[in-house]
Amino acid sequence: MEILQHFDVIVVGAGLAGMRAALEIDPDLRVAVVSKVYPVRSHSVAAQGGINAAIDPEDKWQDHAFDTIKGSDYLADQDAAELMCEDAPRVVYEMEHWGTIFSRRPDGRIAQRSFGGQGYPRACYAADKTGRALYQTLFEQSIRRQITVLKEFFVVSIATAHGQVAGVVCIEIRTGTVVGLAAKSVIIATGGAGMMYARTTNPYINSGDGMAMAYRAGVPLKDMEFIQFHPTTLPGMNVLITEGARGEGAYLYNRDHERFMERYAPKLMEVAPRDIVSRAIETEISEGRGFDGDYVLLDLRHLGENIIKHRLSEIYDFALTYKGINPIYEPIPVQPGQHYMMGGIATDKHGATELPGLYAAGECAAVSVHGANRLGANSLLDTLVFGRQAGIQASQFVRKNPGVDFPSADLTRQQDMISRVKAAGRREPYGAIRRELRETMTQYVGTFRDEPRLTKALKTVRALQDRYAEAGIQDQGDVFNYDLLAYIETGFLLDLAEIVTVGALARKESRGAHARIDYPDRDDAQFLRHFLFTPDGRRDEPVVITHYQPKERKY
Amino acid sequence: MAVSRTFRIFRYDPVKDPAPYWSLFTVNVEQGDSVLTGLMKIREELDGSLAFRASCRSGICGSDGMVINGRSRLACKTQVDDMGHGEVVIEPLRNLPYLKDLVVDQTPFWDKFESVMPWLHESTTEPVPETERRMTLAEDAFDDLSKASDCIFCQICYAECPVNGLDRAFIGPQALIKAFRFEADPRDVGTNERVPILDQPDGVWRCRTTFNCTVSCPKGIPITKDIQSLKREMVGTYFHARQEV
Amino acid sequence: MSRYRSGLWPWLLQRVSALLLLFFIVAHLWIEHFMHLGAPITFHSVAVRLLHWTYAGIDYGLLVVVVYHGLNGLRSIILDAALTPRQVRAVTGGLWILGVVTVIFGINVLSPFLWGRPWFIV
Repeated sequence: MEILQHFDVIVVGAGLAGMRAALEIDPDLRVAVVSKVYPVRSHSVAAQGGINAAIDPEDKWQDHAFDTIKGSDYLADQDAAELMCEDAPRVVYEMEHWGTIFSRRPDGRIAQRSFGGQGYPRACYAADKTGRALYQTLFEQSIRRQITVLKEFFVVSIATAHGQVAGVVCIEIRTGTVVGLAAKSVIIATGGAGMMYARTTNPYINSGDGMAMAYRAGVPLKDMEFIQFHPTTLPGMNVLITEGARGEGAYLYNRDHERFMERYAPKLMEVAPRDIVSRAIETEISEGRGFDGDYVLLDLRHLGENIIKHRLSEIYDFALTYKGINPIYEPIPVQPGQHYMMGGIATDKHGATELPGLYAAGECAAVSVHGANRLGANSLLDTLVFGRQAGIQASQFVRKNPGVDFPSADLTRQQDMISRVKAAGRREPYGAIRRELRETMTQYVGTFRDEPRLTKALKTVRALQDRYAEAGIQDQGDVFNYDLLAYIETGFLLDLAEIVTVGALARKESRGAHARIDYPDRDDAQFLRHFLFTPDGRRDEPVVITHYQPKERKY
Repeated sequence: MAVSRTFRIFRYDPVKDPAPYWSLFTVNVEQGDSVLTGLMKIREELDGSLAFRASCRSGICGSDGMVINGRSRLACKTQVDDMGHGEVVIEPLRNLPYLKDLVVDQTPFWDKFESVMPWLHESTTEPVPETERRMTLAEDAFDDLSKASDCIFCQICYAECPVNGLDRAFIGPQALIKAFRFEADPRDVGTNERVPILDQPDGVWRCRTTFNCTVSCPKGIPITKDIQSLKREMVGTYFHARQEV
Repeated sequence: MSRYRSGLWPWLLQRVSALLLLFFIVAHLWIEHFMHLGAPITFHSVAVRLLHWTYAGIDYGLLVVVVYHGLNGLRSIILDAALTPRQVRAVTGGLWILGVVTVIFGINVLSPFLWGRPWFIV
């Protein structure tokens, strides 16, 4: 029933951050990447627009850092943002050397395009499939380096002993076996938790597993109330329409055929940061200038067939497939949808958490470089910079620490949980709980927030948690029991949804992606600080400020 | 407006079932709903034991390849409306052993993919540049390369290839398209290592240009054309090598 | 490793033979059907034409190429059945024998016009 394997480092999650971390770990250490899906299914492959790096001779990484910090509404830790932006050119060149097929300028150099909130066109890209291009490169390198990947292993908890990480407990999906993987160090790189929202660009697998596991292990989560809503997603499935489209010059129109962004961000217009554009669209819709079905139009027609088919080939295909709309001839309907979580497992600028031996990188971590609002094309950069950092740190940790015994009681506890939910049967299907959670979060914890709606959301989420405790699953089998997986994921989502809502209630100001109707202004005196949540409650931490004093944020 | 549709799904649980059987489910689907949306509704609301893989919902991750009304497709890129008015019949991908319901064993596919040494072989003689390597391909050549790199590992070409169906040893279209992606990359110098793998009776030569892969590829990659390019390259390499001897 | 067994030559020759086939078929049709439009086709007129080395050469060439192209194509179809290397050798050998015998018989039919009598079968 319960096999125990020993490793030096376990990386949970095989997306960009996880793979990059694994590639950085000393080759003579025993490392395994554990993923609940085949690695290439990770959501990194869905990233479209680009990766920021000041590689142009005219550009400076300090400007990139400033744009990032301003974009974050000054909640980013400035030392971390500087580390990331200074490292960015190296990251892009490294990926190019490993084989990424970037789009090129006529002279053969890597092409760059404008992106939201950037003062310079510094997003390097591979058409509108940058994530896939970068990820395939890392995946290829992992094959070359023969990195061990445990595919379709679902990690359910982090094991600790003597105040130190001891490994992870997981379920082998193919057999249903509960497996303990002992390790001296664990790197969490499991991505976001978009599945708590109905309108989201995230995949089914983004259920915040790593964040919830870390939280349950007593590791603080940081700034969870900051949820990014991407301005342009296709209504219905909420398939992402890249910001690169606006970077290439696409316009947003309301029902009166007005480029409404001139009222919200007269200078940057459509390439203002995402929080601003999303709120602008929501405002247009709520004030009756949207279209029936809650959307506005994204017009690419003036870009011409060549740019659309070559640099925006994926979204051309999406519009055709999902809406039957050819963007060469017709504008695309778009509405905001949940896209990214700025918050996550609290780490220092090298990926270390408060729990010795535990590291985190990528969307599941909050370093924090994105603060209250992430700029487009900074998250791919984040994964590669801090994935590498976490890999370096974990290797060093393993060299210095002998590791602790794996607590085998954790395995029994997991096995007991599985038996219990199977025995409970489908008295109430968790599916209904999950659906209500998604609807609640989308309705009450969306772009615009206020006290009454947040309170209502919190009450609903807590009621759902009570119902969840009584719920069970239908599939009594062991082999590929996706029912069990979805049940466990729902538990993770409920934990996180509560933290998001509690944070949103406590932050009585508007900053970045967190817009309170009842507190419309930023309040640096009270809230220029990070919220850290543990099962014991909340504590605050100051924001690291190096060179850039908080100013009003205008575009 | 929601319409009620019947899904006929291939079912098999290796622990319980002596043989596969069909399950029928009736679900309400909205206009524009994908087959995957229907499957998710079935799993969340009707039968939690239904096993299928899925992730991104938008045809990028390649998880949900399956046979829908007789042809291999991505469930997330297939709209229920386009599947006629009768039952939507769903089966696991062909040419790979089924494990449970719509879940197949992908091991042979990945082994073949890895066999072509699918990574950029960097030049060992030229110094690594400090910045990027310049890449000045003609627009057409760059498009070919870029298109070939669009593969999402969905295994649909592998499942639709009749040669794969007859000859399990055939390396398959996906591994070949991957090999092409590197061979077409001017930065790659791995030809000498890759040729002996491709130049085999079960390698590139077994492809019989039936075009099933090209027709079924959800990313529109001209797979057959690229495999033919590989064959021509093999011939070129062969005569080039003879000249040098 | 013998390159011959890789499949390179059969693939290449299939394409080369296809091109030759195109040439020979067009030449054959042109000579037999269009060069003497209106003239009655008699045994004698055909026999006279086949006395000419160019015309005979085209038909000998057509014979060899058509047999190679057809049997090589047949081989690639048979090979789809995932045969063992031994079976592949047997099929290849068998088809070669079949091809050579067919060509010999074909030459036997064409040869009387050049030699004035059949090559080996009377």
